[in-house]
Amino acid sequence: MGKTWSLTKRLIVSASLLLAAFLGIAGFSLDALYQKRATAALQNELLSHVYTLLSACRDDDNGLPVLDELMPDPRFNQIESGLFAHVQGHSNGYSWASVSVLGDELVFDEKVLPGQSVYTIQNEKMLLHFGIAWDDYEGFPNNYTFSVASDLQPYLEDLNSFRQELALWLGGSAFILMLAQVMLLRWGMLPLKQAAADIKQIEDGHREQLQRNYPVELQALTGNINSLIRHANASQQRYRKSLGDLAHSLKTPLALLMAAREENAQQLKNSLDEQLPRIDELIQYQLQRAAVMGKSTVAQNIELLPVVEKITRSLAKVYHDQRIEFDIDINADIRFRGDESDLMELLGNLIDNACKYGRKKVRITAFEQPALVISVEDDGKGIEPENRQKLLQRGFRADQKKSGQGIGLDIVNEIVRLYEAELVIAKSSLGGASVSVRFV
Amino acid sequence: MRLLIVEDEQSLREQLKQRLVDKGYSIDAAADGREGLFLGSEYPMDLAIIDIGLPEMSGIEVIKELRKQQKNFPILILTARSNWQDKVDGLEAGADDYLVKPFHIEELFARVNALLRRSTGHSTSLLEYTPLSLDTARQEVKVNDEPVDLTSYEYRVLEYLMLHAGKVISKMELTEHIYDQDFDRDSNVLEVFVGRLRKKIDPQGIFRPIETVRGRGYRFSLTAETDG
Repeated sequence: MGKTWSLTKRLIVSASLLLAAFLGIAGFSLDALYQKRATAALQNELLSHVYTLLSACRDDDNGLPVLDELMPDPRFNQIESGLFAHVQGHSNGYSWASVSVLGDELVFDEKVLPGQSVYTIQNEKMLLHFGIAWDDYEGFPNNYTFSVASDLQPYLEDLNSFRQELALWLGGSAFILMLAQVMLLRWGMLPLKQAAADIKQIEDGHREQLQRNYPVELQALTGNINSLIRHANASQQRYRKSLGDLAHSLKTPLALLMAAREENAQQLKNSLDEQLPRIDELIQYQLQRAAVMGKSTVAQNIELLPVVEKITRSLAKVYHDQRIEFDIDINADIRFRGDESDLMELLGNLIDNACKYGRKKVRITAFEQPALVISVEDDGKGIEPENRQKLLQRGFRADQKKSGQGIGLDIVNEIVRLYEAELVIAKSSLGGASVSVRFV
Repeated sequence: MRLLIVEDEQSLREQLKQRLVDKGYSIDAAADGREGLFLGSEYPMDLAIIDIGLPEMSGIEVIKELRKQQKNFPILILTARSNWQDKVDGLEAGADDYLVKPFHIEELFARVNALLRRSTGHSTSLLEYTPLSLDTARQEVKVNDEPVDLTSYEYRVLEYLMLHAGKVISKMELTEHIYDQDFDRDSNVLEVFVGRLRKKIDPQGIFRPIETVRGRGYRFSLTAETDG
């Protein structure tokens, strides 16, 4: 879907669209409202002129209305004043026009029924036609139409100037709002920018952690970054330490081999047979120990059962001749929170040991109570209670081990330690050993 | 028994080859995955020893490809990494056993022997067909509990026939499993070996363990007393 827009761009574009829509609607409705008001005011004015006309009427001999040439309102008497009046009788042919109509092209031919008022527009003028029934002395009603017209020019000018002012106000506020919005955005985005700068500083080695007081929304993120950094640092330190330990622990067997150069062939061979496996074990142990990821806040949730099945499928091949029967009792929804290769290492070593020391049966169970407990049992000789403590003792002492004893349980111990879990050795109902790992 | 070795490190490859040849196996060796896959697909192997970390094509890919082609000979993987992820990956791809480097050559022999036994359906290394017995682990042949001294090629012929006891094995198949690819197939050297072998294990011609099936090949025709 192409490039991802930056947060700032998204916010600016969306807020601008919103602002434009709001100002547009506001402008349009204000304009419509004002126009309606102005029109109503003009119409009222026309109506009041009609009343002026009516009040200026005199009765003639028959009691019908006639008007003098000049009107009280001087605007009717002046050409191009912008105010016009006209009266006509519907049946008796009476027609009167104000002086101001002279020279204008207004046509008053509208006849409206009594009681009705009709507004029309003609030559940029608004006209009001007002129907009236006038009783003569004999009580006979005569229909008249009183028309008043007013020039629209002042009205249009007024409307125009309102629009200009409106545009000025709205445009001005749009500008100020946009400015404010950009500033708000900068302010809002500031913690993000700071976080990015802080991360850059960490990259450059000027800083170890994100220490600033970040806003709540960012804290989850910065917290995770911090724990990732801690995790990376810890594993780096572990590698460094393992490397140191490895180099250090290799010195003894190497010194022994150096001394062995002086010995005769048989002695030399014996020394080699003794020291080479020891060197190999030391390397394997330190390498694997360093590779353990350990507990992390950004750990994955791994389904346990497929991993166990993979390992037992593999070990069934390796221990083909023993025809070991694997009894797996693990619910499909049980998950391990941590690193997959750590889990593989833990289970691989435990199940491999069970196959090695068991006879026919290996049982693997897991349950959550609510913390995860994984147990591996076999039907071998089991582990004597007095030896259990020794096996649980942490750390690997190559010099205290007999070659071939394997480093499996040492790696298990290391993983258990890094996950702050607990290793429990007991007697299994199958007859052999039961080794359980309890996570917390 | 014909073995394939796929190992990119020359000194280890040469050493393995030499030691296994000394043990009486015929060996084809490849230095990378592609060549290994070619040899494994084109020649009838009894077992393959494949290093996981190979140039061109990883050992895992080679194993997967061989299994896809229905090559069912046992595969032993060699890995420099001792972590379970790698072991499980190799075994899930179709290997049958693994060995972590560095290893004792004796350990390798034991694994190879066990895998070969397993693939021919024998659960112990001792094949007993009275009065003849053959121990695949020690490569010892006895008649009436008296050791018989066989040359490496004679032993190979007998072992292959005994591991496939009761089945007719064509000269072609026997040749292919006993010699590596450089062997001249047209010579009648196989018949010479079989003839000498018969004389050594059955000088009087009493129990006639190796039968010639005319036009088809040889068959080891004793019946087992104890067969796993």
